[in-house]
Amino acid sequence: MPALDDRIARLLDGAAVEPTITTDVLAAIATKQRRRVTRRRALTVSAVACGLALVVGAVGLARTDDDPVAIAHQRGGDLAVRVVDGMPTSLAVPVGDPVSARRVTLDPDGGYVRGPVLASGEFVAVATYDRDGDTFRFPPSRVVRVDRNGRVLDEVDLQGEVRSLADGEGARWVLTRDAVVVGPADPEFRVKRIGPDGSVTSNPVPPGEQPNGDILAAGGGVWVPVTDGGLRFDPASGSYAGKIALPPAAHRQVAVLGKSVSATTGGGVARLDPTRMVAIGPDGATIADGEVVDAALGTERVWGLVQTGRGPALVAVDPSGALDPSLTVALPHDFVADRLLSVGGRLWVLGRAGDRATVVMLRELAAGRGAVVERVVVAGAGRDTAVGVTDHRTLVVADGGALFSLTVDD
Amino acid sequence: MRRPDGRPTEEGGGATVSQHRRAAATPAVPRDEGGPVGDARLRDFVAGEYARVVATVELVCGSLPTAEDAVQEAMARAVERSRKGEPIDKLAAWVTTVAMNLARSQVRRWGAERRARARLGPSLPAPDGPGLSAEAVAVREALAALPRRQRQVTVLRYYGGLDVAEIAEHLGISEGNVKAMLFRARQALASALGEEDDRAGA
Repeated sequence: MPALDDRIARLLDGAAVEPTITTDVLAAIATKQRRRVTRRRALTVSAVACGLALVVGAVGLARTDDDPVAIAHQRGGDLAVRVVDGMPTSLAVPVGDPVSARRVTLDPDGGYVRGPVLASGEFVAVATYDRDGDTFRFPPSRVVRVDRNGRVLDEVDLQGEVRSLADGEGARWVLTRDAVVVGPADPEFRVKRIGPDGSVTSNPVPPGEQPNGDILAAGGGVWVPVTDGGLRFDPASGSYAGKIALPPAAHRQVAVLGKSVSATTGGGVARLDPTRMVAIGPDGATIADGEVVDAALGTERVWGLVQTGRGPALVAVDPSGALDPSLTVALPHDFVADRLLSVGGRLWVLGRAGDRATVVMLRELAAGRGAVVERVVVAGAGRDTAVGVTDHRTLVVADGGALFSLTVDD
Repeated sequence: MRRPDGRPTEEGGGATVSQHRRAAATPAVPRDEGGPVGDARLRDFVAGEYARVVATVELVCGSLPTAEDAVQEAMARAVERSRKGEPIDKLAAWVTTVAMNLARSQVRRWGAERRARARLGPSLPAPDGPGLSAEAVAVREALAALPRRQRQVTVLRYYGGLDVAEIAEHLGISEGNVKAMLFRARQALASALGEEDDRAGA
């Protein structure tokens, strides 16, 4: 091989980036296979439905969100947790010390406990489903609130799979996904308003919109992030009130940053104006080869959680919503981060390392000098793990159908 | 080759030319024995070839998450195809080709995003991390500047280790076309990287 060919081959070898291999790959392939089958079935059902409609002269098929589906997944036993001080170079190998998690038994038993986990100092809200062997099935589904001892404070019956929870604007809010979607004109996601009296109002997300983040109720609206914008629902009725267009992004979160509600735009953070239904900012530089997947207001400044092919990082966000890379905190490279929370005076980054739910706890330095990683928590025996942060040192974890509480700092 | 933490793998970093030649004797897009794509073959693929195939696709599309997603989707399609009784002889090469096409579609869909971001303001480089060396960044930029087809054949040839006939077969183009694209690509890379083309004028 001539010298230049050899040199190009060596240069490409040095420039290539390999992923971290985990057992999740096989699970991801299995999920994609299932989705392909579901899509095909949906198309088939849709075609048959169209044929029937033509034959009987009827228009469409009336359908609710209560067609049943069973979800199979790996069941976890007791929650295995490791805690690492500082930032390890890699989370792919066993590092840190094991710590015990307290199992929180629901009273009365609510069935199969599953994320999302919406934690506050007073209670934890989670989803529960009917058990189906080691797995669960729905409908029905339920949203329950429990105190720190597991006592069920209240329970609301729903139908679809619970995707995210929010509390604000005078009500509680749930984003659900239907078990079965017949065709493209059929709603797949619904925003459900739980009034103070426990009454539930269901409002469809416009068909075709793909929620890609968590629901938020604040700033004069109930917000559902989608691929190309933020959907606003009316806080009083729960009905759909319009969309604020944003640059397309694969992942998006809406967050309260100071006095306003903002959304990640992929390249920065934009403020959402619910009156004019427009996005404002970012004004300035954006990220080149990464994506801002979440943002949170710390004690000193707003931080953006940036996921790049080389791993995640926290990057400061200036008042215009643009990133300020002069303040950057690199996170473990084999950690896929998707949420950034500010709770109890600390920043918490939630995500996954391999098939384990992983939490990185950070402390902001004084005078805006950045942040340091204090603890990395690797938890969860299964792939169905969700984490919430209750206070400055307590995590609540739904894993394998059960609920756990975990203290990560003395 | 580098892992995401920037640490070279045993076979890659610091290798001399002769060491590299030995490594290149085992192609990055390897040949397997064929047969149905069942659980065992899938596990073998993930354990042995998955990372390298993802890295191949990533070099072409420029995004590791997109490359991983595309390779996993391609593997799901391979399983489905196998279940229909359609055998795949060279799984890694098949997955690489399909994943490159899927990644291209994904990147095209995100074109609107890039354009929107460009309107928002100038881009910044990615945050510093335990990532790539300056040389690796220069190589990736030079590669990204190549036309898509040239980039594909360059990566398949020099990183994937496929020969001209195999590239032509998998991309559905003629061998002459592959050779011409390789010639133009190596000229462009040599110019961009300040290398001397030992075939110049040949």
